[in-house]
Amino acid sequence: MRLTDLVRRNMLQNMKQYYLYFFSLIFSIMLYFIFSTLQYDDVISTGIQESDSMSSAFYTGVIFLAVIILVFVLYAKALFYKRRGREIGLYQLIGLSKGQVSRMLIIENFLLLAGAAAAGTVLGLIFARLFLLLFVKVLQVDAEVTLQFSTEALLQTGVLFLLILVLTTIQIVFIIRKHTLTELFRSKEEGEGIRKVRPVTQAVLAILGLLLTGFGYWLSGNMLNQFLFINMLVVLFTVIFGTFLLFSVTISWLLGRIRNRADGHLSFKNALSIAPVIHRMKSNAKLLTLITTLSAVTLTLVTVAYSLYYSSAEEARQMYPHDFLFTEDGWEEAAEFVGRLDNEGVEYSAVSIDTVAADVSLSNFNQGFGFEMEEWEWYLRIAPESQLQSAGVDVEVAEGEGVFFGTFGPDMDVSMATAAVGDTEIAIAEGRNFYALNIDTNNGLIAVDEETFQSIDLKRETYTAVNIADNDARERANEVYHSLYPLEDGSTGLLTFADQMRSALEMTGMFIFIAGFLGVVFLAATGSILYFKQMTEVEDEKGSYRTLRQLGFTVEEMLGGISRKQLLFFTLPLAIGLLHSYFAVQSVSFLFRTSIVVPVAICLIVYSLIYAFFYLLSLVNTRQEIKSVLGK
Amino acid sequence: MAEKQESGQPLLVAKDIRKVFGSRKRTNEVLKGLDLTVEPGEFVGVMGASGAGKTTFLNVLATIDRPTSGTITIDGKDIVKMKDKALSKFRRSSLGFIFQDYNLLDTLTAKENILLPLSLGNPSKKEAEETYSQLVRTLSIEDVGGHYPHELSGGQKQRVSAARALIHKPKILFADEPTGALDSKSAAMLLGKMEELNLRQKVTIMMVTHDPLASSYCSRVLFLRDGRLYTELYRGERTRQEFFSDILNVQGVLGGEVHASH
Repeated sequence: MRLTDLVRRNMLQNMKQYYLYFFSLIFSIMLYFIFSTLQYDDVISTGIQESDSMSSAFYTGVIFLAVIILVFVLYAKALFYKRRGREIGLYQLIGLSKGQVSRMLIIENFLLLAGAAAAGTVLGLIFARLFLLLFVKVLQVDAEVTLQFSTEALLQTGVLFLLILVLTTIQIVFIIRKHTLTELFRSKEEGEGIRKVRPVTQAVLAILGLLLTGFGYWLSGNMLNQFLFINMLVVLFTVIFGTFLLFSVTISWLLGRIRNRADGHLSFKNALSIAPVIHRMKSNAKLLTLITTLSAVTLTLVTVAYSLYYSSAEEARQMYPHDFLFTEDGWEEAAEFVGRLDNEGVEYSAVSIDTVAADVSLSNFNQGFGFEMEEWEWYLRIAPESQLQSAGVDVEVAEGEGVFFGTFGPDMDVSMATAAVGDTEIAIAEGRNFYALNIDTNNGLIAVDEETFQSIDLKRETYTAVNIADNDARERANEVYHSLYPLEDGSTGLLTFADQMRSALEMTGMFIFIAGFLGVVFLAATGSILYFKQMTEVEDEKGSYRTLRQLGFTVEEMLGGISRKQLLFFTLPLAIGLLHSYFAVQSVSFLFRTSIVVPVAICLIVYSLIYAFFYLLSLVNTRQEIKSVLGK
Repeated sequence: MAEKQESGQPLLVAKDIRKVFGSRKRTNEVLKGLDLTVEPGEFVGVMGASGAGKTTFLNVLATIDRPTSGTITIDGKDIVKMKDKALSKFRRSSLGFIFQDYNLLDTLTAKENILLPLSLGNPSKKEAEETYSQLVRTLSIEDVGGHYPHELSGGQKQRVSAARALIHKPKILFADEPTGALDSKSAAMLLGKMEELNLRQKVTIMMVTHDPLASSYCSRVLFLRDGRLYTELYRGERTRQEFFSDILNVQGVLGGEVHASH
């Protein structure tokens, strides 16, 4: 039998273990190719306002993808070779040299990779158009979708392919050279020995893990002060190290307590779940920590991206409460604009708002950034409540009091705050984290009652707010507006609500698009690694299943225990990852003006569903494996 | 000559057991019509050259494998006709096994391994604990309960395995070359313990072995040759040493004939 025959037979035989890896690889390469195509695509660079940041965002996405793919491939391969240790040892035993064995594995690896790369690229070509359509849809822009074949994208994919090939080839040579024959035969049991730790040390470390993680969570919610940067580092360190302790000690410790309480009388399910989980936790700790931490980061990114996208309309409204706003200097344009709207037959409401601008001295005004200034001056606008109301701002003030609009930062505390303009004192009754007049016309605004406003003796500046109820009409009006104020660099014109909306959708849409797909690739990669790990464990435990069968346990009874074990294995990193990202999102929640419960919930559910899919896949295959071992 | 400890029903009755392996074209008949009756309290050894069908015979009797034809009843129950699920249950409640390579679960401590057969039912913990402590005392493994298999010697592992096989008080204990992987001292200890269990607690044992010394602990030894019962020896009132030399004699004849037949 020639070497190539051996390779062929081997591949066919191992295909059963490989197919998920193969599909994950095809899927990742497809996405990589599509991202590369979008990075170089003309439609995107011409059709979109923020096209510069767009292609650099895709470029970042491409690099992230490449890193995820490389790590995934190398890790999965390492698992496979460990699993095939016996087979590799056998080849050497029957007289193949290390060189020949390496060559055989290299050929096999090359064929698999080339197959995946070719399939991924072809699928990428087919689906790129679909992705572009989806992308344009997410960004809500009108662009004609014509996609050209991109040579650059093909080259970029080729580079990734070569990189994977070179690294995996080095990996093979390294593994074969490093391992001795006896090690190859032993590789299955490697690294899973049970070392006994002194119970006291274990308990201390276990509790330390909980404390570190808990402290990190607590600090993440209280880090907005002058030590912000140090705080962030501390949170990062405590949470990651805490997670590692959770996996390497705490979980085994907690499960160990349940086990010790049984004093040998373990229920069958626990004997097949708790015991092996404790047994393997130590060797799995690094992997699980890595997966949990990365899941938390990915999940946080995706959640933040989705929340930003989800709330972009509302946020645009909070920055641009009026569809169109003209300042005192722009009254002529305002008149012309309104005239044009009349001609076009667009229904609108135009309201004049009197304002004054002044350096207002503020006392006890806490902006919520964690440090307090007793008194400082701020250039703000003041406007009467009634006019703001008629322009559609929901505001009501008592006599001598004021409502502050602006900042867009964390929650502020104005309970003791007062503002003074000349002789007029205003007690700030409420501070709102959004604007009453479009953001590019003021730093902030205090709405006061009519009488107070009249008592301020400063030059009046009259703003004109134009609002349009109908969405389509507003879009048309926006075009009219930009025929007066062209949307170009150096233009002195003010932006409109529709402009803000468009650019927010483009930015957050791109963010969600890239973060979303990276998240999916990442999930597919980590999910399949957890799956491979479980299948490796099933392989290792085949002997135990045979024994159990001889002792009179049925396959279904065994599966009951094994499914509990696998559930633990999939749920632990997911649950801890979800908890991490919950606190991470919580700590940056001031970024969002609006409720993000819905987008966060959707992200978490999707994430859990994908893991559930891998869990089910693992169960189905485990059942099959066990049945085949037991000859049924 | 038969040494019946109890009159009444035999524990195990096998009639005309045949086992054929392979597909239609190339068949290999390993068992060619074996009959066996085991009374409660017997310690039966099964000997024979490799390929004589000893392990196949044991597996068939122990419900691990099914015979091609023939009937087997254990404790009055026809195990050939039993459905798979019922068979599993029967195995778990009425049979005990010791294997050559121990077959302990690496992830469980010795005590957890021993109590494993009770883990699905819901026996009283107190009762289980009593049986456990009595068994580990008999088998001299009181101190290893909290240890994992990889921390134990071969002899200890095999005694743990024996304790696991007996924890649920099976009707009959099957042992397949239990001393095969042990040094002679550990083997002697294990066999001594098995003999003790057999004599004092009336545990019925059926053991496959190729070692004449091991079978000298038995009360009866069957010799298989080429899938058939060649002969059987009862120990009776003889000393173990006398029985041992008898076994060696039969094996000499059997071995010679086996060689001659090739």
